[in-house]
Amino acid sequence: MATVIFSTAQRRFTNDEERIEIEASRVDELIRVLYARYADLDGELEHAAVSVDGVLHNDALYVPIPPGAEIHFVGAIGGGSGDAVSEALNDRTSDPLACARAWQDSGRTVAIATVLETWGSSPCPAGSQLAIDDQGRFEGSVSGGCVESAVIESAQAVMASGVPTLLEFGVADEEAWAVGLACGGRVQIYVERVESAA
Amino acid sequence: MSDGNSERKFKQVGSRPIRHDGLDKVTGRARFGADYTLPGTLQGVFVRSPHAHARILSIDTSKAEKLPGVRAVITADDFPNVPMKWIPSGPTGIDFGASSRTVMAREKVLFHGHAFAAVAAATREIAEEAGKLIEVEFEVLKPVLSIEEALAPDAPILHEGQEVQGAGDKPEGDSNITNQVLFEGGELDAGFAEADVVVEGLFETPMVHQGYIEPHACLANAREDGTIEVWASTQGAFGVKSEIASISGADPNSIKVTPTEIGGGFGGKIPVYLEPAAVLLSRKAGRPVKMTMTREEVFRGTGPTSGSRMWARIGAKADGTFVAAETRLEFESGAFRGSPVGAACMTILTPYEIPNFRIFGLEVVLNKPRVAAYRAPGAPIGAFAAESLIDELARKLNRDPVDLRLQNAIEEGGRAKYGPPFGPIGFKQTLEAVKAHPHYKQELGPNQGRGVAAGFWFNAGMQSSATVSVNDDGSAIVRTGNPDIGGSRASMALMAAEELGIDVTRVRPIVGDTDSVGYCDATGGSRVTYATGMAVIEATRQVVDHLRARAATIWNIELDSVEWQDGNAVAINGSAEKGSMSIEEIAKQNRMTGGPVVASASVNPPAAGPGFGVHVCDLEVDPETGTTRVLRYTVAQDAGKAIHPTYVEGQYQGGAAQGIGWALNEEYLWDEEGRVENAGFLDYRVPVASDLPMIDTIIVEVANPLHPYGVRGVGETPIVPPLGTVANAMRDATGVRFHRLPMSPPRVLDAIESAGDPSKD
Repeated sequence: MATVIFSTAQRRFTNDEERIEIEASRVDELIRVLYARYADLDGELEHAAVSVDGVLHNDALYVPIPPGAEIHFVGAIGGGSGDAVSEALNDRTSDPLACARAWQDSGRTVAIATVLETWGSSPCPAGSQLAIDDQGRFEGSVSGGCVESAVIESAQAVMASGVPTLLEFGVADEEAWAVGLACGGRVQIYVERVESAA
Repeated sequence: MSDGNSERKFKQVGSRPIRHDGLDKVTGRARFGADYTLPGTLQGVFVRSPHAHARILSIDTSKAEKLPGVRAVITADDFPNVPMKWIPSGPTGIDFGASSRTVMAREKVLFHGHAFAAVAAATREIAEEAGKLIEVEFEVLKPVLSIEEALAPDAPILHEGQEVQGAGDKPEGDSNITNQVLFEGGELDAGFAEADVVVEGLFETPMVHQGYIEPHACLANAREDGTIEVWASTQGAFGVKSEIASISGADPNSIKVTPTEIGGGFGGKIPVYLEPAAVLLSRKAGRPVKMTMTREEVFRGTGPTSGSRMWARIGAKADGTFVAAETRLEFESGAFRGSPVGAACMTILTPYEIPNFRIFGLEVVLNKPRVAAYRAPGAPIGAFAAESLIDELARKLNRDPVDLRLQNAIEEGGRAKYGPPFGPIGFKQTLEAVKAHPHYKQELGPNQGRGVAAGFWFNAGMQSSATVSVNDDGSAIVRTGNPDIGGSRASMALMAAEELGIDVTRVRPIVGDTDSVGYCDATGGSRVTYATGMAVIEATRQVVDHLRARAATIWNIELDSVEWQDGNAVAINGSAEKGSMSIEEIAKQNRMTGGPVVASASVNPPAAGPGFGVHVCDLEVDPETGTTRVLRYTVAQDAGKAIHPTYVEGQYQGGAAQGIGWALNEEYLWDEEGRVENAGFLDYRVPVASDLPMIDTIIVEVANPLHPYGVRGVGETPIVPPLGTVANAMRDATGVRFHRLPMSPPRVLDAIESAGDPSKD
């Protein structure tokens, strides 16, 4: 049995309970049990630092819980803005299609941009994809950043109209210096709205 | 993890070798951020807002682009539009949208000096000239310049639709409040009802800058093959890589960041300001681009720490026992959310057992530079209020201020105000050390006063990697990814030397780039000697195992029959007749025994266990001018274990010096339009060597069980107590309690004169 002690802020989600005893051998298991018990707590704990018997773990999901341990979930010990961390970086390299699905499932409009063909030096090969949602969020890459902003902008129009479009970027374009591929390549990108399966 | 370090006899650790980078630094050969260049490098500059708050209606860069010598001009349109969103991550969180808008304003300029365009040209002069040719249409908005203005019901809103994070009752509708924090324990009213004495005060601290000596600088080269090379003066090269990827939309795998030597950071070189813009300028121009800030730009455009307004009260029984405390902390976050108010709330009362408490904090955004981390972020500010009040309690109860703190000091098993219990900590030992020090017994003269205050900081763990290799002459190389700011190279070398059993001069410590070392979180949070040191020890122990195995091969005996002692493999058990073999002899045969000896280790340890510090300050106030001279200053702090005592002392002294400046002189001055009026070291007064006495240090060592040698972090705790320490000394010298920083000569003079004239009270 581990004893979990909730802070004042957390008690908003725990029916004002301050401490409970839970059988769990690891922090992830403990979090699952807590979410099952307190639905409102869902999503609040994964990123918290966790104190196990006074030892504070920042990345605690798989930390074992010894029998009789006292557990606290502690909020961010922030140093202010700008603490760049690996996790956010990992987010950026996740699968654009999975992301598009998740966004669509949460009721947002989503577009996919796909590299059809490339000539010369271009950062992303044919088949590379970028998912974009109606709030300007994006995942994946079609050019390593060179033309992303233009693709995202164009995707907004595609999402609104439903009409797919074919974009071309290269040094020959007048746009080259604004959004182009300074590296000298050319790239053709197809942008389409993701239609719901239903 | 601990190997009974209290009994361990160290041979290298605890010695004071000359730092490996010392010669280069004192002879001017060390290469800092601005010292790097490549053939064809362009100079990049930012174009900065003349307004503190304005909507950007349009930007026309065409004239600037036509100026001969100009090779690229960028605005927010060249950056991906990253939405403002708080992503909880690691020990804090990050908002890449806010980071993007800090580098380059998008919808609005939010503080005077906020960059809204950047130019790369053949020379800095041409780039600056081009900047003047950029035509911007601004809709000038009313700036929000104080906490009071930010909280006013009719305040202009900086970010429409931004949600309030955190705890407590939240404001309805749009607000400039971006975060709220609440910690409670016991029964507040009942607690105060028990109190025989209650002290209370309203305190204010100004926004202050970290004041690192080296301005921000970088060189970026976006190459034709899509790869990006960056040299940057930064506390964390991996963080720069991640932020370039997120802000400029580049593939993280294409980016290599090399950290240069760094001339101070104190948290302010964790965020990026230049690098994503330099990368986009370089990509657009097809040439390397170098960006360096002027001191004025550093003050206007980079991370200060929060100004604050704090109300607090503390109640004690007649016997000195603290029974209740309540605080309300209001912090300026600058143009975007992310202030250290949370850390301030977590630290403010944590050194003391107080059964009944309520700690509430909030942050507001306003039209000032976005705050960045600054050495124990938030903690010095909170401690200023709490330690001033505890000093008042000691006066009212007629108690020695150290004794009163000893009576209420938190001990092992006691709970932090944010919940968890403490492991072994050295607060009481540190207080005792101060009491026993000759400084505390020295007589004071007229117009002189003595102050004492304490402070607490968490000390981080986080991710670190190290690679240790043995050269064929038996010397070793230790490679980590943590820029060396406070002498960490020497500490890494000492720990590797300790494990290898060789002299520290035989170990060469290297700070690697993001392609050549395993991931390391930033040099910050007082974490490097603890966490990166742990990776170094771990990797070196693996190397030692390899060396034992190599010796076993040479001797043709079992690995179990080889021990490692003082840099030698020693044959034991039935093989003792083989004698011993030095690391040099083993390394010479590496080729025969399996090739080079190399090992790496990575760790993500829990927070290091907290550091407590207690400071004593004697000062003298000139009653005619209000000028303050610090006569004597002593820092006592629990280091866990001092790996390189000189650099531990250096951290203690540096933290004290910065805190003294914060207490006595430092502040941003703003005009009514929100322009910084003192953006330079002539008018923004940091202490220089001639302003300060030699700062005494006492290293207390209560081993941290989480580290093999007992190390705690030491870098941040020393800046937590000085604000209160100096204020308490000032109270002692003048009879006046100062609630507002800095205690600069005009304020001191005014306060003394008002105190002497009851009609002005």
